[in-house]
Amino acid sequence: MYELKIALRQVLSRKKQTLFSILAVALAVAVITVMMALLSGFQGELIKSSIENNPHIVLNPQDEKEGFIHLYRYNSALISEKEGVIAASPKYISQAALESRDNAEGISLQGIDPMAEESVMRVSEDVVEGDLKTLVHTRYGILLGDQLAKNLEVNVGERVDAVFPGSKTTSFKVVGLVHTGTSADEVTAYARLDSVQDFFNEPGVVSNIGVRVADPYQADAIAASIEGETGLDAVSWSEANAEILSLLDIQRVSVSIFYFLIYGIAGFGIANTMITIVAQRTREIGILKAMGTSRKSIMVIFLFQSMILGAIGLVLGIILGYIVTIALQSYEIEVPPEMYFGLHTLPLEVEPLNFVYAAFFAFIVNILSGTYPARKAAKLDPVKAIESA
Amino acid sequence: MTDKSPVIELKNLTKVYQNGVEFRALDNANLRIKKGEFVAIVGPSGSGKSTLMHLIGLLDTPSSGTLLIDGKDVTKMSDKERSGMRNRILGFVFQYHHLLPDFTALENVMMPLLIAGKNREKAKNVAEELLKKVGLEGRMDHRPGELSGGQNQRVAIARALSCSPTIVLGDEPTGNLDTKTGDMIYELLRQLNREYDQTFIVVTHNEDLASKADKIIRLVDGKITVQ
Repeated sequence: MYELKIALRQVLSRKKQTLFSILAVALAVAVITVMMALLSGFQGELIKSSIENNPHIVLNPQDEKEGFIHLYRYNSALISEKEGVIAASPKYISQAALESRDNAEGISLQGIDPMAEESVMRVSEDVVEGDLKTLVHTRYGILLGDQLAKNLEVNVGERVDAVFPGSKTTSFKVVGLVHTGTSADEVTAYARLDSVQDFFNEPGVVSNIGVRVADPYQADAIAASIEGETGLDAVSWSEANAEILSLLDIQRVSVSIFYFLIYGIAGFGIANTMITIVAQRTREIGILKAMGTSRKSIMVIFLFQSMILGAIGLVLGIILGYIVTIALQSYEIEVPPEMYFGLHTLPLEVEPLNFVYAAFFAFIVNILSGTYPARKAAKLDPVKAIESA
Repeated sequence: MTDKSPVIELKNLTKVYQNGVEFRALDNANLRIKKGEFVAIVGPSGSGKSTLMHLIGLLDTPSSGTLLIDGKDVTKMSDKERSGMRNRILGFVFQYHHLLPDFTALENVMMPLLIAGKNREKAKNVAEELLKKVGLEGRMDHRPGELSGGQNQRVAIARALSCSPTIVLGDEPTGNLDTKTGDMIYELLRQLNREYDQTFIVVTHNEDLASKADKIIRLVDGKITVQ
């Protein structure tokens, strides 16, 4: 392969000139890999948080006007038996107010079966003080969001009064505090399902049933099956977050346009360098032709050169991109949660496949941008090429 | 040498350049050059010497007429076939040395052999042999920038001979050298011509040098006047 030998020699003899086009490719690949890491991390985190912070499937009453699910014990048992379902947790949710000393706060009072809710939502992971299990044997126990407790100025072990029009004011003992890091901490209170049903005078009904499944990506299918069997309205996490998920798809498309432009710029850099090299090497191209190098081989020589530039550039770019990604990972980049669907920091994810994609497309771009100068070189008139100064 | 068949044969070979105005650089040229001949092409500037050279060297294509090299009609060949012939049958020595600047003298001489697909070891042996022949055994690993004009021209000659071509073409090979060096290069060419029985065609301005050739072709306004 004398073509490769010539290509290597010619590329390496113009170090400064080639350096800049290598840097252009390297930067493009680095920027793209970092962007991909951000996007993968963001999407991964978003999906993870929608899966973790909500039940995989929520069962709502079939008739919206009615507002309650009857026969919830039977339905919960039925659902728990289904293949792929880990647990089902019936829940009674209603607005109420809590009072303590001179403070009063509007809350979302959630009546739960502590162990079932633990299986579905892993509540105890968020319990920062006290214990969820205490609820099991405390008829009028209550867990408060830590911010809510602060606003009410109560601590674990103290009592709060639940107030609701038409209900008998009931005193609850604070048995634990919950911290999720979201605004829910200001309004959420958990109590036992039977206590809450009694408080609202609605025994035997719940607002919804939360379901946890083994594989979140099977949630749609399982939801459909539950809907068929129970007649309840089953909403999977992906259905509930359909807007966010479709937004992610749109984001993927718009980011691809960015990638395309960045690669385009790097490609023009390569093309520009190669056009310059071909212009500078015109006489040598003539000599090579006089020595019997065919048009095809001339083309190969200059395609090799752009490939060498591109290959060095993309290797550098991947290393640079990896280093920047790792460096950014060790920083917590704070973002406004309301703009990022509740995420507080930008997560970056090192996804090996992303690097493969970035490298692959960079290489394609290189070959494309090297083609025009190489064809130009191949088509040079040997007489004019030799006589050029 | 009269019994030898012509290695180059031109029949009504014409080259017309059309750059707004029609310019007949070579006009109905008829010529036969036999194997082993040392031919000098002379004539004033613009008389078509270089055009003739480039046509025979397969660097340019004629507008009309036939050109036979080694008995083959080269005017209808593809780029690949023409490149192959340039590589195997033709050797070029240009006015300016025209070496590849990034390669050493040895590598430059090896290059046509590598283009021909010969293996590196064999190419190296041939190239070393030839560089010794032109008196550059001590300069093989120097690049063109580190050699004098005369030395570079010797490298160019060694390179032209590397594939044992049937025809060696020189486009004013001594034109850019001082008289003494020029004479030496010319002598070297003649000596190699006798030694290898290759056909040499040399374009020159220098009448003294031309007079030493077997045959002189005079060109005036694209027409061959004296053979």
